[in-house]
Amino acid sequence: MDTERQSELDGLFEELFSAYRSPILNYIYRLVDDSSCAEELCQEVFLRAYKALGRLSADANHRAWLYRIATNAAYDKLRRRKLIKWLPLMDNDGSTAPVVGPERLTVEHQAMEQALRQVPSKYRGPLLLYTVQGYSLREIGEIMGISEGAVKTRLFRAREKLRVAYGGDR
Amino acid sequence: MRCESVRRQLAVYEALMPEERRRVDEHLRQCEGCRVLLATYRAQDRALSSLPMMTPSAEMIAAVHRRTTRRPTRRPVQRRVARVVTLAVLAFLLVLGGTLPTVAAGTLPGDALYPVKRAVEQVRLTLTIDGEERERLTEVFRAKRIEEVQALAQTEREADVAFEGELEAVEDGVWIVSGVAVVPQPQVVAEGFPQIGQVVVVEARVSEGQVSASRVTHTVSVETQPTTATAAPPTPTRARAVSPSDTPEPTVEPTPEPTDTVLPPTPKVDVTAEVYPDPRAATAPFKPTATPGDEPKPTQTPTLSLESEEGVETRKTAEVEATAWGTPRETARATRWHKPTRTPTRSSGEATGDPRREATARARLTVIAIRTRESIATAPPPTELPTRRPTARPPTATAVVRPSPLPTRTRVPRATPTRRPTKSPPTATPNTNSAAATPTSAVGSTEPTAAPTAETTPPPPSDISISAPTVTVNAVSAR
Repeated sequence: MDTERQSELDGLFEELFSAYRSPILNYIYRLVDDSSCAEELCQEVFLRAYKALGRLSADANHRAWLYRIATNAAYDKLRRRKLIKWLPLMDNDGSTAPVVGPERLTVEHQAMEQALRQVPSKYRGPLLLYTVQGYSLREIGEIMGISEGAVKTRLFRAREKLRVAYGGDR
Repeated sequence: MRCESVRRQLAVYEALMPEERRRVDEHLRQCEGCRVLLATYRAQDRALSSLPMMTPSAEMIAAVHRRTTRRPTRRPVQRRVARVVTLAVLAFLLVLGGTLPTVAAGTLPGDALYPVKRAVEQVRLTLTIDGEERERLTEVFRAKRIEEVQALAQTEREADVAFEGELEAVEDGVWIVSGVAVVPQPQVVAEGFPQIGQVVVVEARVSEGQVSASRVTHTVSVETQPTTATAAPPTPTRARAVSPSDTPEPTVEPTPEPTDTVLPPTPKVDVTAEVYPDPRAATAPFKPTATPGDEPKPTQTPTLSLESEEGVETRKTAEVEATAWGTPRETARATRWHKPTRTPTRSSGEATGDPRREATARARLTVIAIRTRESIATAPPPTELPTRRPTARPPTATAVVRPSPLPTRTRVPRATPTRRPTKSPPTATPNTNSAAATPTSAVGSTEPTAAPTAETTPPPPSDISISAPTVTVNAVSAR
């Protein structure tokens, strides 16, 4: 790889990192519910992206590609975490407390975060992508590697789970 | 439209297509429960969107930058440096491997690159498997060595050399080895007895156009050397007939010798001596004339006569020089010539190739040669020239000798087989071991069993004439 091509890739990576490091970090954080782990995973996501950037086609959806890397990394993390869930130091739900300052947490936020932890990660990802990140069904399907119909189903089930956990009458 | 299907679409109400949304809206206007559900979903969306956001830490950003931006900036530099270094090494090796042997090919001994030239030749020889090609290369390199010596001599450069060549001739103490004139140094060490036409290895120093040999190697056995009277450069007769010495060897053992009388110098001296032919010069092997039990008897009675003549160059000087140079062949011949007549038993033992005697003879010859040189160089001019005059002298040849600064005391025994030799004092009897070095003793030692009556007369201050056997003189007077 010549220097010019490498410079182009470096520039592209810098753009992607600047634009998506915060959304990717929050997406991962909502998935793994652990700020330090989220940062480690975010760093790993961008390093993977940097190594694979040269093999990516020019017309590829870079944003969807980055989120797919982040989703896989988070799911891998959650999968490993399930294996040690029985350890006594863990909470009942297996998550740790958020690092956001308590002064910023309102009762509603705490209730929502608590409810969100009740939603399985399989449904939580499409819900976050749809409601927080604003992705279309097609993009979510592309990120998750599933069809649009499957995305609709997962979104419906995610909402129902969250409604039950958060309180359906709210 | 049933509520069940509408509720699934309410989960993605914002993403519905216009037609689907119109049908869902119609249902919502009629179904209170579905309207409440849609409001709940929208509340979830607001709550999720209002959740506090994490901000990437500076450490995480720096770590990503460090692990992504460092490698690209360093890699090309390292590659460039490695490429330049590799090219430089390759170029250096190419130049060294291709140019150095070419440059070294024209060097001479003493040059800085001369070892490279020899190393390249050695590598070529080592890598050559074919025997014929290897021999051809060896000959080529041998010729190169001789060319180098000649070039050094022509350019009057100074260097130590070693070369191998054919001994072509020995003239005036100068050896011609493959066209190179080699002058033996006083301390020359000669190994073996090279003959004309044989290959010798010469270690020499080239200085001021002269090749001075410090070592000559030739290890061919004496008995295997083909010798003829014409091929042999110096004969033993030459060596023993002259080279007078005023100082007999102090280590002399008294041997049965004729009664010698030293006479005061006389203006004109005639010396008659019995000269034995070189047994190796004959085609037939040498046979002692006496049995071991009997007293040795000389087989011939050649005569040497010395007489003074003015302004005549004689071979005496040449003979002295030849003995003084200590050429191994001359001294070897002299010793071999003496042994059979002295003790037939020893003679026959040496003729059969006794290795220990042969080695002893070689070592003695080297010592003799060196001593002769030193004695000649350091001997003071004689005040008188004692000579011996044997009674019996059948002269067959005559040579005129110009007086040399060396002592001219010469003793020529006379062959008297019936007479038993008598012992004489060490100061008067010659040394058998130093026969070749001190010709006076050499003459006496050749006739240990004879009882010659040597007559010594004071030599003339000017010239001396020598009478010698014809066969010996012809061989010597080749110059």
